Amino acid sequence: MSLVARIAARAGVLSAVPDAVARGAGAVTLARWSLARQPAPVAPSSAEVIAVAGAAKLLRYRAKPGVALSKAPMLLCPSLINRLYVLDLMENLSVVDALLSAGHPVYGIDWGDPGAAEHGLDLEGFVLGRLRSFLQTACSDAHVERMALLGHCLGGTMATTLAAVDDAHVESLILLTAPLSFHDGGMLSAWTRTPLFDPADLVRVVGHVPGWVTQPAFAVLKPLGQTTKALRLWQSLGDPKFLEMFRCLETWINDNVAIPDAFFVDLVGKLYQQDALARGTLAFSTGPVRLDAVKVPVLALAAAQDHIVPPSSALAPVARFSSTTKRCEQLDGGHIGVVVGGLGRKRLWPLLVQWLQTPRAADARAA
Amino acid sequence: MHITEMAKKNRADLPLGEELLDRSVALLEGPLNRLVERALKSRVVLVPLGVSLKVALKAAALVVPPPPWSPSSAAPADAKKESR
Repeated sequence: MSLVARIAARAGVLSAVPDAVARGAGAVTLARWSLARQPAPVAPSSAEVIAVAGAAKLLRYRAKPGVALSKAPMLLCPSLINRLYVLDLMENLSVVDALLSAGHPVYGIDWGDPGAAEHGLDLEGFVLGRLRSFLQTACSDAHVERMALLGHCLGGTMATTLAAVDDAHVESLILLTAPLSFHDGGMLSAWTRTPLFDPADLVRVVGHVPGWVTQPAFAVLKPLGQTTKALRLWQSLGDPKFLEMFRCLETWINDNVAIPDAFFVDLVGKLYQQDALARGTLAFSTGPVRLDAVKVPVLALAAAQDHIVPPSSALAPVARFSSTTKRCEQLDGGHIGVVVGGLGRKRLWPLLVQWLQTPRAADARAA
Repeated sequence: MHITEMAKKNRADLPLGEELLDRSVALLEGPLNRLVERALKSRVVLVPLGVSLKVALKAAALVVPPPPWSPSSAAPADAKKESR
């Protein structure tokens, strides 16, 4: 390329018009989606409900044509405050699809929108009630005694407490950006420990804590996030693939689930304010919930740029597990990007499949 | 953030104007964001926030009727049973 052409390219002379046209087309596409109110093509994997408890449902994903589901099964336990479909976001960007394609039966918990049946159901109720019962049902359905349990975000915290108390049906534990220690120096940790803040006060007024309370609170965790998001959207407005992904991701981010009242009180009061799980002071009616009581094989994954669950919160406490097989990985990306970003596809999905397919010697539980 | 990872491009391929924009956004996402974050985590913000939240929630509890499933109303028996 001649020097003049190189300078023209660097100055953007050659690309200014095509870029403007592409961005204009992108803006029109976004406007058309908004005006037509077309639902985003999220959660493409087909599933059927095999159990229901209150608002929560246990889903069994259907096999893909031509793929026999003959390998180790897995139960996906998402965060109670987000929708399950972040793990099945869109075509070609789905953890569920990756596992099904590799021949693993996949089950998932849709916690649903809390209502009267969830009133008074605390952390213990969700873990020893619903999660344990869904895990048992999934195991019977898959004709196995135990299966791998993947907990995403708070779902990982719940999965850990279940494994600590009753691991009878847990083959192995996969913790995906799951907070285990809650005094981590992050914004969420600081704000939930705001002086005089009592979660019971909030619950007394609003009942189950709705999305209009939690959504702005999460937005503030990255104070300049909304501004930078708009700028990043402008940068990639001419990329149709980016727009499709952006649309699906925004759909998920804004698809809020209310946090059940008693669970919220436990989450903020016991986990965030007292850091009870990491300090070993958390107790269920069955006894204490201790990290060193976790004996099953563990794969813990953290996101290096996670502003919601810093890596120190997700990985350091794993050292206290009694499991003989422990693997900790820190992946590039943020809290969501690690699951649905391009790096998620390259690093996370193969890691999960590899973990499920690795034969393991007897774990600490058997020993 | 996820959008950052999705939008990331190789800076060497970008025209100068786009590269400057990209660098500015990176500055906003990194050091500037951390600065604002630090301010929002300081006691100067947290103490007044905590006090105003406490007062607002206590006042709201007096004015707003309790929701059908607030802790002050009894939990349904099946919720308690399910939890054990």
